[in-house]
Amino acid sequence: MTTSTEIIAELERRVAQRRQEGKYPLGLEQQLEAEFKAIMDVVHRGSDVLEDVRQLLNRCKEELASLQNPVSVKSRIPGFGIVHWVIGKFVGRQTAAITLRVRTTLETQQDVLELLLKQLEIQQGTDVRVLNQLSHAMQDRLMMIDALAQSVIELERKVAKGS
Amino acid sequence: MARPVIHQVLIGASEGDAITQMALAVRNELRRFCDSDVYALWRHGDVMRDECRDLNEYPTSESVDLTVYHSSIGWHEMTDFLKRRQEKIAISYHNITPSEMYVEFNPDFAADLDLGRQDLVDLRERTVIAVADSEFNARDLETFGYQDIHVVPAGFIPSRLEGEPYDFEILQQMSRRFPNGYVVAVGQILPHKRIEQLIESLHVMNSTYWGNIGLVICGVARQEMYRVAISKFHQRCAMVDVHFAGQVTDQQLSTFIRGARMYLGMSDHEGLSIPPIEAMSMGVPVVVKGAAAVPETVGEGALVLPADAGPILAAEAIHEVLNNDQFRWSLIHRGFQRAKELEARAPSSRTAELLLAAAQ
Repeated sequence: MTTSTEIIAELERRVAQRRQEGKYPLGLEQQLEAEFKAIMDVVHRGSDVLEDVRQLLNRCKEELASLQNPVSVKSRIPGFGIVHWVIGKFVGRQTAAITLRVRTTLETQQDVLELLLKQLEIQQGTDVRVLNQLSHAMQDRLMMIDALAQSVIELERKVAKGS
Repeated sequence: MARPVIHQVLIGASEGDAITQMALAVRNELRRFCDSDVYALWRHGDVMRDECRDLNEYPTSESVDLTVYHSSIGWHEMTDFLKRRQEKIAISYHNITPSEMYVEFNPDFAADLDLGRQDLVDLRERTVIAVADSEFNARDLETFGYQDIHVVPAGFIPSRLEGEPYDFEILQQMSRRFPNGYVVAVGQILPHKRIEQLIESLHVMNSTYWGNIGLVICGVARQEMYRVAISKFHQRCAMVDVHFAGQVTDQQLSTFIRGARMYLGMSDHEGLSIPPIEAMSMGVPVVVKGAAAVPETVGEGALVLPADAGPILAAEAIHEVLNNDQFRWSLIHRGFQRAKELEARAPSSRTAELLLAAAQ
């Protein structure tokens, strides 16, 4: 067995035999190629994910800032000011409690995003699948908080308008 | 009677770069008969600044009989330079990597490759002679409308590294780090060289056969993103230790090759493929993937894997070369013969003859 052609044929026979024996798992080469491609994706698009997290963080900060509208107790109807004042205080206590909870959650969310951003900036080689999951999870949670915060804001505005 | 003036132009000149070495070898041969220098847009390192001149100092067209352009990629400044020239032009074609291999992850580099191809089209009418490194490159050049292409690996000297003294510090370092030896690969860290397949092949081989063979890769990283990806991928392939030697001097390169148990190449695209021949010249057995011009260059001097070979077949080939003494010695002998056969063709003198005739 000396020619290259004969050697190659023998090597291919061995590969087939070892595949049957399970020494070369099915799809091994494809798996290795996929691993490398995932790394290439992260290296080339890592900055896009970082930008996504930065934008989420900014949105979080904006939502926090918009939760600070004061509840107005003035009324357009003479004599009803006291009623609106009472209602406003009553509603204000309720919304304040909700707002406080939303604010606390948003602040926690902001802390988490800032930590994540720092971690990503330090470790840009994190697997793209992990990054995407984290990014999606954060986006899902923020969307829920966003919807809740928006409801509170609308409620506050209605109360302020009504007085 | 005034000597003819034939100069060569490169985009970049660096020690260890195959095209630079070929240009300098042709220059040395040309200087026997004419005035000749190598000019480059970029000259990396002191050696290149001594050996090559700045392209901005290129003489006027009236004082040059023939300008030889080494084509392997495009660059706007070179395009502008060539468009301004009035003298005869010669093309020395080293192959331009297909841009499809880079468009996804490096569109800027892909654009440079396409520019290089456009340059070939634009220069065709003014080109008085075209030289290609290989039949593969000649067929490629024909697709740009060139005819009567001379196939000569201009300036290729297989024994170039044979006279280099050993770097004993490198030998000691490699001996300590790789007690069971290492496989060497030479080439720029670029995607089409499939550096990741080199790592995969050794990882699979060591995993299957517990060989604990290392891998040394000599070559400069031209694209940072790919280099980072390779570095991270290496960390995932726990069964292979890889030493990235980076840009090396000829002495260091010669030492790394001669200290290796074998040479491995998994490139998907080569216009000539010089490093395997240099390894063969120094008695190192060679296994390469048979893509593009590689089979034509190595002939029967190497174990040539199919063009679509993956790391598993390469792993088996590595194991066979390292453990089958009879086959390994046969491969070393055939490789040595092939290197000498290519050397005997004296491409530098043949190229100089062609260029001198074209300059008349």
